[in-house]
Amino acid sequence: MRRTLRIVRFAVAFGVALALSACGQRGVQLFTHPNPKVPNLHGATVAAFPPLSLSEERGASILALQTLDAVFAAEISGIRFLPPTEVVAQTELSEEEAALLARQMSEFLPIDVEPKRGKARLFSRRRLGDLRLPDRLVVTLQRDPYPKRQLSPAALPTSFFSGLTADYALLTVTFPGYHRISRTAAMLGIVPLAFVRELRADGPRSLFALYEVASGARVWDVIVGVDNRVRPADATAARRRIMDYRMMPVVGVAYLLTGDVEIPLERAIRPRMTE
Amino acid sequence: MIFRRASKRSRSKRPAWRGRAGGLNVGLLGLLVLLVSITVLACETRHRSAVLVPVGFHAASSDVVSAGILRRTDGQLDEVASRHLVDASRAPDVSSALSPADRDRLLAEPFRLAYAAAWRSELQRRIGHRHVLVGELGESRIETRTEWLPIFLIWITPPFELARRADVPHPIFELRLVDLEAGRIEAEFFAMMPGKDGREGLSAAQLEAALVSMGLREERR
Repeated sequence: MRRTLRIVRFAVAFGVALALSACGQRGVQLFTHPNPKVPNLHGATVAAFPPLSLSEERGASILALQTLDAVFAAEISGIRFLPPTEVVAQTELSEEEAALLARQMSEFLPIDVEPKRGKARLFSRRRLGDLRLPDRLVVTLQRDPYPKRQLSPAALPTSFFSGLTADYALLTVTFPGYHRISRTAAMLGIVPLAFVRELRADGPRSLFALYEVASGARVWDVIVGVDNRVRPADATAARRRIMDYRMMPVVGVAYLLTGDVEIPLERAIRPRMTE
Repeated sequence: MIFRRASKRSRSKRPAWRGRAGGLNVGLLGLLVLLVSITVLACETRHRSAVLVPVGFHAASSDVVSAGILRRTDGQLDEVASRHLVDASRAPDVSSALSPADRDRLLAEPFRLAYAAAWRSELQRRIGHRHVLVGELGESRIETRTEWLPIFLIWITPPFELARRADVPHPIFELRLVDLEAGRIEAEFFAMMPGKDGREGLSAAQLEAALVSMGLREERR
């Protein structure tokens, strides 16, 4: 009897600890699929195109556009960037070309990707440059160790990049995912007890593909996602907070390309702090 | 003693739903009613998982006009919802000045909107305003999963997946404010609609809530 009680007590304590650790999971959990080797871009110029969107929900791509403009406004780690505003001014895509580019870039999407093991902490501080954050900000990254699937076309027509004064073009496609889950809870696995139906939104995910402007060949591509589940209240309150998960894939790709997380994070957050 | 044993045996042969006096077992029946009512109540739970996505918007502009709300199923303007939009936003109605192609372009993705500079400036000249409020009642493709979750008193096992379907249409509502000069969407409200509301259209209250969350209208006290 005493032994049984001890086991029950241990099980309850274990359950409470597990629940507390899950509740206490804070910060932004980024993940990549796959884990490609980044080309050496030192001294090169990368032009960031405005993001394409695969869903009727454009919020993620609108925010990605704002973040691309802020993060790639100037050089990072010896790599020069052209923000989307300048790219649109330099390139003269017709509406047909824009539609064709959107179609080609979404050929292999959406892809169901999940974070894998191997979490590394990229950032954990209360200060970001001269900005004092309201709370400690923690950013982690999980890199997918498994082989990649085809994510983007191997080459694009060079006409898409005509007029661009850059060595590489960075194309972004955002694709949020929704799941409707119908769950029947059954007592002892047999007696149906309750039926619940809920709609879940994945964290934001974006495909980033780097193309060589001169040849149109793809040199690198990756999906960067945010593991945090987006709850309705989060999305509604997001505009009043300094951190919106939908801007984080851009920060993630800036880190992968430049190896620096602090500068992209600061440039992404600063406009929201000073707003 | 023999008599007592015999009576026990006869009691054990009685079915579980029978009470001591041969009538219904009230306790067991109560439990069954409770289980059934829990199941029915859970089934009746409203689809409350609308996902709202407003994007940062700075100040309500007086230079906003309403282009109406498009119904994607037939490509026509939803007259009732468009009227609600004009009333709730107090933005002048310019829907009659727009062609279906104009509305399609206004509802296109941000990338294509950014590159349609010639059309944007022509539209701005035609309607005489910079910011256009436009919406749609459409469908989004989602994935559905059916799961079975066994519960053993206090122990819950991971759910078993029974079925999974991709590309299932689900009704959505989107409202956006387009800046024609900059070629950008300044604010967006997006909601996955409950099935019933998706079929019946939008109410004035839903539109008002969308405008409030976009910062285009103050909350009514």
